[in-house]
Amino acid sequence: MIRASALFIVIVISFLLASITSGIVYYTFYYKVQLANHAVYHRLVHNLNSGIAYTLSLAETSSAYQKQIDLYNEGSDSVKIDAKLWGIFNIASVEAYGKGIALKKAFMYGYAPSKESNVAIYLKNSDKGLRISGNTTIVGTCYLPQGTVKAANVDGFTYQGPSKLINGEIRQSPDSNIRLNSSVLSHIEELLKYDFLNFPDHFSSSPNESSEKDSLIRSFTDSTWYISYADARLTDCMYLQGNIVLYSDQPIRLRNTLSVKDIIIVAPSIIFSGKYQGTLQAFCTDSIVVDSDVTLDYPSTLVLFKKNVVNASAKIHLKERSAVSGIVCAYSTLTNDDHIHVQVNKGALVKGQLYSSGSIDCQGTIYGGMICKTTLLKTNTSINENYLLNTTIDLTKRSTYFVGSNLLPANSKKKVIKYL
Amino acid sequence: MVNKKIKASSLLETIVAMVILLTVFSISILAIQNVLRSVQIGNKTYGYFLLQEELAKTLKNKQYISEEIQKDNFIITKDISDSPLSEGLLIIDLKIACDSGTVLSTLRETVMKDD
Repeated sequence: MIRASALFIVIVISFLLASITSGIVYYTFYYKVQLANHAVYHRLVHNLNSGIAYTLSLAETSSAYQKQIDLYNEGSDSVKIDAKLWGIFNIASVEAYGKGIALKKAFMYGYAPSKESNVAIYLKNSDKGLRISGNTTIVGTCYLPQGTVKAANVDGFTYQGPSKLINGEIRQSPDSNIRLNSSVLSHIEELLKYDFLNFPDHFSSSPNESSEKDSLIRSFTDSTWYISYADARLTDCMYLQGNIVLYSDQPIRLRNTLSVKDIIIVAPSIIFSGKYQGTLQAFCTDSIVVDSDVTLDYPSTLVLFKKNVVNASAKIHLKERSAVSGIVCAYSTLTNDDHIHVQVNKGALVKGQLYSSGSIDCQGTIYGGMICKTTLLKTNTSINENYLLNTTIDLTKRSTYFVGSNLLPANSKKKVIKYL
Repeated sequence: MVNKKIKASSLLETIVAMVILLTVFSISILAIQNVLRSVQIGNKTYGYFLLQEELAKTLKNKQYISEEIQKDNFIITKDISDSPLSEGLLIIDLKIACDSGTVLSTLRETVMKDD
């Protein structure tokens, strides 16, 4: 039997059904809006990738530029590109925008070594061919003086390496040393002028950055922060990352407690204290000392840029058990300057490229290549030119994905080192 | 007497209730169908993911060839052309359409030729 309140019950049920239905309709509408947003977002992601491809395909006419391009000449897919030199590498920030949304992505890029610099050893031509002793292993193409290599005795060490002295092609080296890229050198020289105080983005003009922070992170899509190593706000800082140039006009000893990633450090000389670990590019005029057990991860760079004849002992020194992944470079602006030196101690490791416009004393390991005017082997009793003792240089052990800088001769094709 | 009055009232109530119910149901079904038809949500979403998959495959295998691909009940059209921006760039233009020929989704990306 139907009760008299049936109409009331049905109205309640209808109300519930109407509520559920309107909920579904609203959900569908919301989903439709989200789908439209999703489509816009993905379109921007593809435009961002297109912008990155465009940046990498662009023939480098200038290291720093800002561009706005219309990807398909339809006026609806535009990206902004902001590229600059970051130390010896390059950084580009790409921004895709549309319908109130903007996506930004920054990446570091470089260049794969060219045939000329993709070698195990490159020594400038002279009348002294290469002599190797002790447990020395060399793998890879070598450019040697007179195109010769011989086993020799040094300080009582006889050659004990593989029967084939060099496992790779041997070519006679040219009479001149490898030339470095002048525009990258100019950029390094500019950095070493310590003229940062006049820069509009100097950190001292950022009073809002509290001294209580234990880390400073600056995106590469923003402007660069130039921070003096003497800045009081760095006292308690433990971590620096990103678009930061840390500078000092005095020699600095980098404390272990300050971890850094992707930043640039500029100082007359830098000492990396024992067990230090980080990823950075260091530019100095006098000396760089990497203590034992220090690890500098890829893509790290140590550049010694000697511009003063007074500094007779310009030197990069990698001590025992230290490891540098990236590029180690000692360069003198003075022509025929032999007084610039890189010393790689026994047990030290360089993964990448090692360059000196003067000499290198390598008793450690290089997974990659070494380019210099001459090698200098210092023993207790003698100094021997173009000698290697207990050294391992193996080009094949460097990652096939290694990307260097166009500071050294490189292929014209750009490659992404990392996304930032 | 009282019982009879209640029965008569219930019949009227029932008829009104049924009319209300039917109206609410038909309005809601019409509304939902209309929304679903206008958006083609399922197909569009599925189609977009098929395009993403095809783009990833093209980039991985470097299959820079214009072609038509039949996938389930959809046709994917891949069009490769040179970018006007640089000689080293290609434009990959992907479109997905259902059997009736309605384009559900498109996707476009510029890539490096020899990357």
